[in-house]
Amino acid sequence: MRLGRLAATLMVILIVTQSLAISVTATTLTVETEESNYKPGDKVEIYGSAGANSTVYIALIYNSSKIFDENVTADGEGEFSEDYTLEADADFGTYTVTASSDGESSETYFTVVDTSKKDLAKELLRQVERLRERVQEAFDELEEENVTIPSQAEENFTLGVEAATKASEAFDAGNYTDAIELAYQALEYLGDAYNVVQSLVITETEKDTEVEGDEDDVERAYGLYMAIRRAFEFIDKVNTTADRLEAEGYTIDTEIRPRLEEANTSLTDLRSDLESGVKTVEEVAEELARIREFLGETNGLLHSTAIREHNTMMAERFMEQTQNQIRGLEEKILRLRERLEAEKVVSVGNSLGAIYRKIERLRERLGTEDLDGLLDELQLAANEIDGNLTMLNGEGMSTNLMEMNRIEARIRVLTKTAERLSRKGYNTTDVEDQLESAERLLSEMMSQLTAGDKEGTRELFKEAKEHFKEIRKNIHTSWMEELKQRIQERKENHSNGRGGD
Amino acid sequence: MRGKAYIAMFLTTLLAVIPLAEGQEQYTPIELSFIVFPDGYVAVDYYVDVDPTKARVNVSLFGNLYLDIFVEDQDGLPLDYSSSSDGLTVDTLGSASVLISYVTADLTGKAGTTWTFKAPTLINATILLPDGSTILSLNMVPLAMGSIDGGLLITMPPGNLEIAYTIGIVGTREHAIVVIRDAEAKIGEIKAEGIIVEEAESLLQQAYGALDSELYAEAEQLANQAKAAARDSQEAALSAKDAIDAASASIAAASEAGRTVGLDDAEGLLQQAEAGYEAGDYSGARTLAGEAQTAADRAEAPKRRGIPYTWLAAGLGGAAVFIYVAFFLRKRAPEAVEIKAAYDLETLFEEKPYMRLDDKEVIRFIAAAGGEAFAAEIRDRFDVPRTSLWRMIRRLEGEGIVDVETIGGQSLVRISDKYRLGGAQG
Repeated sequence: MRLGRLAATLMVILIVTQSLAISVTATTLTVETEESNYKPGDKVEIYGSAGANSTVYIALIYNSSKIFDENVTADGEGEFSEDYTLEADADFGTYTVTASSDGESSETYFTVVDTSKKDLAKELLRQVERLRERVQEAFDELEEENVTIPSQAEENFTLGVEAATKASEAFDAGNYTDAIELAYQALEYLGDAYNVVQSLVITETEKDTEVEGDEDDVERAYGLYMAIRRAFEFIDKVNTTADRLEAEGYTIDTEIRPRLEEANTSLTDLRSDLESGVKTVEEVAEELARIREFLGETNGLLHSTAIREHNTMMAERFMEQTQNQIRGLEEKILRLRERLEAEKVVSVGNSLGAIYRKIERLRERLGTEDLDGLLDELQLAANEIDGNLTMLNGEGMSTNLMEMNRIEARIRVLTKTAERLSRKGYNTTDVEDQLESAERLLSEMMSQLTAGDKEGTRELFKEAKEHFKEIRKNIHTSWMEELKQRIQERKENHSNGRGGD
Repeated sequence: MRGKAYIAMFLTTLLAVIPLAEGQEQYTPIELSFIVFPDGYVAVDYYVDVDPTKARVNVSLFGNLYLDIFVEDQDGLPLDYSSSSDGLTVDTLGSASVLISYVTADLTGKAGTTWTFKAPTLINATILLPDGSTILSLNMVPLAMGSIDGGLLITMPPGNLEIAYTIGIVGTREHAIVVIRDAEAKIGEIKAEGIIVEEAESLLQQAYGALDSELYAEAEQLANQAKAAARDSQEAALSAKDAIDAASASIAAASEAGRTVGLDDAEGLLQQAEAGYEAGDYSGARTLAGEAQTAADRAEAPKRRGIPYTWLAAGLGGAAVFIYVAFFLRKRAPEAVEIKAAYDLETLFEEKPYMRLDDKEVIRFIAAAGGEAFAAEIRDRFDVPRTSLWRMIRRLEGEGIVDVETIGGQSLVRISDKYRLGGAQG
């Protein structure tokens, strides 16, 4: 009976204690965010605990301004949560989240960080750590040799490690700009320390052994692998050039492909010989020089045949384009004659006519004379056009005409490129739109020039410049991807035992 | 992929309309990348917009000597070119853009283990450093950094770029093979000197295993360790040999000076050092040789009067006299060794048909000397180096032909009793 009463009393105490504990927990307001760092556009998950079923007022504050607030209701266990999506252009910095309920309040913080710098900071820190390890290794080597580490190196090492530690702390706090700056400093200090100790390590090692000579041997042998790899890549490029020319309808000399195949086989064999040690490094180097000479001759053969033929065709096309350009300039000058000195209009008109005829004569000589000499004359003729335009005066006419002339030429070339791409099945809609915009701009420029609106023409150029800057940003990624892909291809070919396919 | 590149190239060329039109330059740099090879060569890809109203355009390039040049227009078609003072004169013939690719060795330099890449650029440039590179310094804060399969890709702002780096473990198959071949050569060279390089060989075997398992960085490390171990062995062997030679010289000097007291100990230690050397224990051999030299240097001339000898010293002196007499008598033996009938050498030689001629000669000599001889006697008789003799004795002992016993610090070589005529005795 006594025991039963005692048990009942204990149970009551237990229940009361538990309910007290629950009560204490429930009335302690807390608020947290899922992450400590966010980037603009991220969803911030806010959560915490309050009294069961209580109303919690949440506010998000940045720079003393409230940017978001909301009343949420805690559940039966007192837990509450709320999400907030940061604006895409949210300011970088520290944000405060406050929660208030039943006269209590609690707050937490998170940082919106510029993540574009995060990767750079991370990679720099990785490099700093690598360098720190290298310096430490060099210190250890010197200690083994009982060589005193110069105080300058030790000092720089200490400063480097300190800067690296601060950089890591800044990184963890999401302050990537500082992290970059500090990591860069750390790199400088550690680099200085490395240079001092490394020179000592080398001196010590060289005292007793012929390490330097051995390293030269390794470098020579590895250099040959690299040279073979580059030779493979050269073959690939010659092959690709031949393919492109062939696709354009040019005839490739029948000797070229078999020669490239022969060089490819020789290089593969040479690589095996180097790997197996059948041939000495000197023998491999000699054989490689022979193959490179053979390849040079093969490339020369491609240049003297299909490439020369292509160049002649390009020269013919360029001469025709330049003549069209002269006709276009004559028309423009005629439209602008009101704003130009009549005497100069006649003089420049006559000169342009003379250049036109000169080019006509060059066209007649094409195919019968050395192309190099003809191109020299053609270049002079092209320069003469600009020279004549500079003679035109009045409201920056010459400059504007030259600029428009170039834009026109560029649009003409790129239109052909777009057509070529389209024929190959690529989507060129964006490109065509850009070309149309460029043509519209050109037309507007001419109108404004004719109207004598120099400022208006300039504004158009500026507008176009900004417009094109934006496009440049967009395509930069494509370029980087292209570069990375090319590097990746090289690496894959390399690991497949081939210079590049 | 190529189409994408064309479109990118196409758009880029279009973008450059304005800068080119406003400037007086015949070309405008658009994209620039450097791929640095581990041997210091650099592959450059330089993409520029050119004035489409010109027939030829001069483009300044990076470096002085250009190899493997390829020049193509915005359509990927080849353009002709010729060298100009600081680059190329390209026959652009109305092209809008030009991609110049070439290789040059002029952009890098090496001092010690530090490589430096330098290039003066007008636009942002990407630089891919070789696999396994560690940056030592950058003269400007980079715009971006990342790694591509081990290689470090850095985007730098325009300016006189200068990047110092060092290449550690490269981690490619080719480099692993090169390092393994180098280690093989070094180990072979050291082995040819008669030096035991067991540890190096074991590490080399592990390197082969790692190579087969495509663990190239590990293979490279192991091969480097193997080479270092071989070098250590060589160094230790040389040091031990020097110590043995020094001990021999000290013993000879002591002997000549008549400082014979304690010299037996020195000789005994020297023999142990030589045995250790033969077994490849170079560190132990060096220590023992050092002790032998110390013992020899401390050896004293026998004292004639004034000092009371203990009974032990007297005993040792008697033994020395005995040994001396034995030596004297044996040295007086005729040059033409007369084999006494006490040993059945014919049976021995029949049993061991592969025995070397010089081994047989020594056995004959010992037999003629009554079946036993001190190592020093044999060395005097045949004028062989101490180490060679010791190797021979060890060989004969291993074959069970002789037994070796140390008496008063001297090795006494005795023909095995089983070859004694009339059978083994007591």
